[in-house]
Amino acid sequence: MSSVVRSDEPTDLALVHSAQRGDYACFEELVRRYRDRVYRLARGMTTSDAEAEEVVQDTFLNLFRHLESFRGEAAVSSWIFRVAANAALMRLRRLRRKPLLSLEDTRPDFSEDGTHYIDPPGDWARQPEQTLLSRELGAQIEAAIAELPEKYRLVLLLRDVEGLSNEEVADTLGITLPTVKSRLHRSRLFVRDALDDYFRKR
Amino acid sequence: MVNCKQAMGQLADYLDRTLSPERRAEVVEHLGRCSACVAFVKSYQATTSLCRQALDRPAPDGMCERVIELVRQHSRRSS
Repeated sequence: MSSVVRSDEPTDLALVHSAQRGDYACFEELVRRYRDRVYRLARGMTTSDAEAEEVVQDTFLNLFRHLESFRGEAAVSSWIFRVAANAALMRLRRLRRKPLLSLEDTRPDFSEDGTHYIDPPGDWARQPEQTLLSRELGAQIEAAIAELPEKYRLVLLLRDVEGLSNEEVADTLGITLPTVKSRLHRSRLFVRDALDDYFRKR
Repeated sequence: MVNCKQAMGQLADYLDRTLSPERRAEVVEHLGRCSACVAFVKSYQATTSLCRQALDRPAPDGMCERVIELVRQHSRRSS
């Protein structure tokens, strides 16, 4: 997905081509265009403002250093998000790692014949979203996302927060479409479960 | 007729509208008679939307300028 560009503004691709020819102002424009999206991805991955800014710096520095390597086979946005994802993963590797969570069993529990829920879903989603999203709930959601294994978290952030399509996520991360769908579904189920727990305890 | 487990096993494809018409009709039929699955679908969709809202924050003030300056310094050093 490209960032929003007015019709009289150069496309992302035109900016990259100009930057490759040495027009540094065009690279700066790319930074301005993608700063919020790269920051959001970095913040979602690292859960730290300071670490996220480091990731953003690493991302744009790497993009600048490797400008010549962009050949236009992928969308500019995919290229930028791929570099950002790698920068975030590198940064996380340097930080203390938590034990990996298994999402294999993250699914609703049904009776043996599959005809009813063992633990029926709460109906909290009937409330208006403005009511739902308090500061406390926002923190719960962030905490749940932070618990996801990194490769699952990346898919959820790119798809549900940045709004990329499944195909764009697959292209960005170099994984297959079924893998994107599987990781996305398990991630959503895990966060949904966390929300269910939160609303039951209120 | 599909049961809850079978219907919810196809939830992501149902919401992405990538199910075949036959499969989609099975899920729609199931949702028409199962309030628990309707609640589950609503909470699954709300989760997606709440994730987006919870993590939607702009970059800090001055970050863009700091990044641009860093790249400028790198550019000067390497030229």
